[in-house]
Amino acid sequence: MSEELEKGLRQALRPVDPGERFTDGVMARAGAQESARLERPQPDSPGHARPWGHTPMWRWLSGAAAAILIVVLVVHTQQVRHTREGLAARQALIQALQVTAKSLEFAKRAVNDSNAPSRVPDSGA
Amino acid sequence: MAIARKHPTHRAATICLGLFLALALSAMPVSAAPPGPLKLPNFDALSGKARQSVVVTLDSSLLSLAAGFLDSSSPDDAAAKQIISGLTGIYVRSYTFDSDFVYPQSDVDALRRQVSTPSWQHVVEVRNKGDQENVDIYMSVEQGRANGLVVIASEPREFTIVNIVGSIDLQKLQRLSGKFGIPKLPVEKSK
Amino acid sequence: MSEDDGGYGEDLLSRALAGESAAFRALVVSHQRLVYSLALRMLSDRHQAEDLSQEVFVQLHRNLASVESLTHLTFWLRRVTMNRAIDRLRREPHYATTSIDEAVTIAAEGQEGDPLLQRRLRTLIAELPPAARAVVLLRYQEDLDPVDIGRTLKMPVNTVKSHLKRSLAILRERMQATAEASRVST
Repeated sequence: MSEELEKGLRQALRPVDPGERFTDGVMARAGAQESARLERPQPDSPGHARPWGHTPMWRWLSGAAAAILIVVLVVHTQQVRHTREGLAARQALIQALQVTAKSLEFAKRAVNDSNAPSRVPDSGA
Repeated sequence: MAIARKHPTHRAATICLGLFLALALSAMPVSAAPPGPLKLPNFDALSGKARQSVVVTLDSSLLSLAAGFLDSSSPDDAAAKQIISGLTGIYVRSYTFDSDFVYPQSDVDALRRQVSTPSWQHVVEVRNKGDQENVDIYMSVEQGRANGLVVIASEPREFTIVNIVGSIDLQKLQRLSGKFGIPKLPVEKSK
Repeated sequence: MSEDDGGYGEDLLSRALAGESAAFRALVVSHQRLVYSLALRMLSDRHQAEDLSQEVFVQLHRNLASVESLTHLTFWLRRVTMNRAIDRLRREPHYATTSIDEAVTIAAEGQEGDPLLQRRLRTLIAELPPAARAVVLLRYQEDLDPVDIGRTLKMPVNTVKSHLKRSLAILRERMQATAEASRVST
């Protein structure tokens, strides 16, 4: 029985593939993370000139880009939070319906058991 | 095994529970107003003692949120979406223990008293003294439609309360059997 | 990625470390089955499993420099996946659920054996406490021995063996109860 169970477990737990767009999702998330990392200010390197840093126009552009990035990141964070909350709500709903289904099955079984005829030999009368 | 069925017109034959509920619904008097969700006791202390617990509280806003994340291409998700359209709340408390009667029977009895009012019809009552299994199903009806369902099921090591509020489609609820990993109970043929 | 592909795999790893995006992508493709399956069997939900699995690979992308070899990579992925899954289970109320769509996926792949029995086993595994579940998955999905399971989960070997013994006993008992219930109802 133990060998059968272990064999059954190995068969039941054969690895499965994620959805088709899984890898694209990973690369997109890794890329977004990399962009966010690169946007953080780099430590000053002594001896390296920053020719563009002193130009007002470049400062304005970099400020605007940072502002846009912050907005994008905030929206993205809110979307991620919304997705997490939505997935959690879905999960809770599925759990609730599972328990409901089990309870109704339990009730059905109990009602059916109550309707099962008692095992009295047929006297033929 | 002591059995009491609250609708005396039904024959003692094996019948589908959903058909039974639907027939019971059609014979019920109309209730005055839709009941709100039950006041569920605080079972927090039980979670620590339970081997397994399911605690779900979904009001209408959370149900809407969940519906947005159901995948219509999946048969089970699509069924869930159909069931919850029209619902305003689903409340579940289910606990499984490793020893008998760890849960307070008085709390379960207090819940039964909450639904012992004119708003609720006690449509199924099963008492199995041998296995000490008890099941009660209560329904609230308005204008021929179920708008509240309560299931209270208890065994020595498990008790479950399900409270569904809102416009309930009994046929769709009965079709939960076979979905979400719950094996379908074969219906015995009448002899 | 089998051991025979070791040379190719190590080459991919080096190129990914050097910043080659295509090489990292190939590493993801070759290991996503392992990571996703562990996440799916721990969390019993396809969407959550996908989300967690992607997080694992994003974390890998961030920490690729700490990976020394392909063997280390596999160990790293198993460990991070299980740690994240156990953390998530502890953070969110996430008790015994059944993977709803998984059975469809498995059937589509033409799995051998009794699909209903396997589905029942997966349901029962999902009812085990997180740590025990993790041990069972690493043993029967990943075919790790108790010592490797202990290293992956940072758990003493005796605790691993104890989890395995108890979990198998529980699974056996519940399978027998299911079989008896089926006999009664038919």
